[in-house]
Amino acid sequence: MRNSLLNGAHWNSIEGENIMREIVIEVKDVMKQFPTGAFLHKKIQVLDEITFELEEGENLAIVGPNGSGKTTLLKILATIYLPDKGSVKIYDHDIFKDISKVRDMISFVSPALSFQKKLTLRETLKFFSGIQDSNIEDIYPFLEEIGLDQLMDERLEGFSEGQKAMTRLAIGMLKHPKILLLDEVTATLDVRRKEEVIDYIDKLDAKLDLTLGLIDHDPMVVDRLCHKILLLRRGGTILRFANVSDLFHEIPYRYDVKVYPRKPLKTKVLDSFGFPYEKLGDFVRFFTQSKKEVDEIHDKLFEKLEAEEIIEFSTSGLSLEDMYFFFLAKET
Amino acid sequence: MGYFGRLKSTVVRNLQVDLKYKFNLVIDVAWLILDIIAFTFLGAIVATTSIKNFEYNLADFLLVGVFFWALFGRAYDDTVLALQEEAARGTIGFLLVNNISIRTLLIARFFSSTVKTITIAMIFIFPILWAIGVIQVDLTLIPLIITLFFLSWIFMIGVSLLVSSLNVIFKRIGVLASLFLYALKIASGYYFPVEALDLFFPGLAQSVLQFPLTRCVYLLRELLILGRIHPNIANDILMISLGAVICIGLALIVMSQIEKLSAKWGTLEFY
Repeated sequence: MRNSLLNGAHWNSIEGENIMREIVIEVKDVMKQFPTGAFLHKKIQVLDEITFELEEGENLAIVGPNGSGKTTLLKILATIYLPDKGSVKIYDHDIFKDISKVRDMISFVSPALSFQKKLTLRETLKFFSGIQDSNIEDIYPFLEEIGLDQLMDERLEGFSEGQKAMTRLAIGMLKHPKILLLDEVTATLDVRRKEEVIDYIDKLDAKLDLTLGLIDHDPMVVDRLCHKILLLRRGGTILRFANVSDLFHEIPYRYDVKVYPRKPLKTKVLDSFGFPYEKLGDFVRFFTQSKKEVDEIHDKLFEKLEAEEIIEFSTSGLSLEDMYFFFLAKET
Repeated sequence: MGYFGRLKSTVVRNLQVDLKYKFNLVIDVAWLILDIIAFTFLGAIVATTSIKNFEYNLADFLLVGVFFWALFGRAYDDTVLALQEEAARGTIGFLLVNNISIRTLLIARFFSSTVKTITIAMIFIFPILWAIGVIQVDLTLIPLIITLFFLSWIFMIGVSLLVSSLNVIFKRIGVLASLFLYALKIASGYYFPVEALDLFFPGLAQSVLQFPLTRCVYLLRELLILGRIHPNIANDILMISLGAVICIGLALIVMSQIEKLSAKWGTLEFY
């Protein structure tokens, strides 16, 4: 792989494949501390040595536990915060030097962002379309799809949290951004709404070749929308940066079955299930690769349930927390 | 969209929001009417008991001050409070990522408050002052009067930005900002003729009169009450313009540095 500068933009070209993709986000050695204390003399380390690149059309999920600096990183990309060290370039524009150009290309949507609640939806969208030099009609298909078109003349103070989340998204899309940064936008949505929003973002991404950067705790959202994952440790350093599919493949299981026995199950009994497991306090977790294996384990557990050897069991898919802890454990 | 387009959209949005808070508008009007009543009585009573060698009717003198500060006092207050209010409503982040900087936000707030207060002043104050004979404007003087108001306006944008920059650093400087406005009003000769300072501090009045805002109010009183153009007005306007340009230039430089610092400290969206 080689880097070159072409027409003022930064590109990656893959030898022999004749594929050239523009580097959209380039983050190098970013460090961020927040001052605290009465005289701002103490520093809290939030991000350190963050380096990664994202090519045009690639979508990134930022994953990590609380205190790993996910939102801070997203806010740096959104130019709300500036890093203390290192550089961030968006389409080769440095956020220190060309902040206005960068802001023209990005939209940042977060539950932390709010609007003047006394204004109606129409007035709000008109204001944002005014400052973004965009056309309010462009967003009507989205508003119709989610039913907000019926509320155009309603004040935002009467909106539910879900409707406010959709309004934020509508404002973010109104701009026709090249990069859309989403901070847990689906967190306050019900399952149906979440599905609608993901579908819409997916379609928009396919149509406009957007670059997405998102924080979301739902692996389904990450799996559907993202190509790459940036795993951050607590303290704000990179644990892994890789393709979503590669990371999922590295993890030897997709589902886990949690079993609560009446009394501790003997190792011989647990081995007889034929799946890897771990004992944790008063329950046991079995790990499986496929739904077929889950069915197989369920059959055996129903027998144990009837024999009153176990109290209950539950099955869940691989979560992003699981992924995080898997790689953390692997590292240490 | 250029800078002025964004500024215009923000001004319109501020005015829309102001119109939704109708009770606050009623309070603003009531406040001004009470000021007019209080200063008319004060001026009239003081005039009957003391100052004999004073060129103006003291009530007229005070009411021109009321008119002047009606135009700029509310705009200053609104601008200094703008960050606090936007932060309380959680709107700053959305504005920032849509290329509305803190400077633009504050300048837009000053613009929209000026539109609001000019409307209130023209509907409620100007007619009252006209009716009671305080203001007898010769139409030929109007360009000069507008020029002086415009220069004061530029100067006050600069002052408001500078005080707001303190707001970004120290947060919630409401009382300090009020104190500063009070000091500006005193220095401008709102409460008493600046010349009266010489009674206690000989020579001080001339120095205070060089302050751009004080000079503006002084010249406006000459124009509005006496219909007289001060002989040195060209030189005065030049000096006031210089003061206004320095003030706003300094304010923009300070504010841009404060914005960068605040983005580094991570306090910008909460200011």
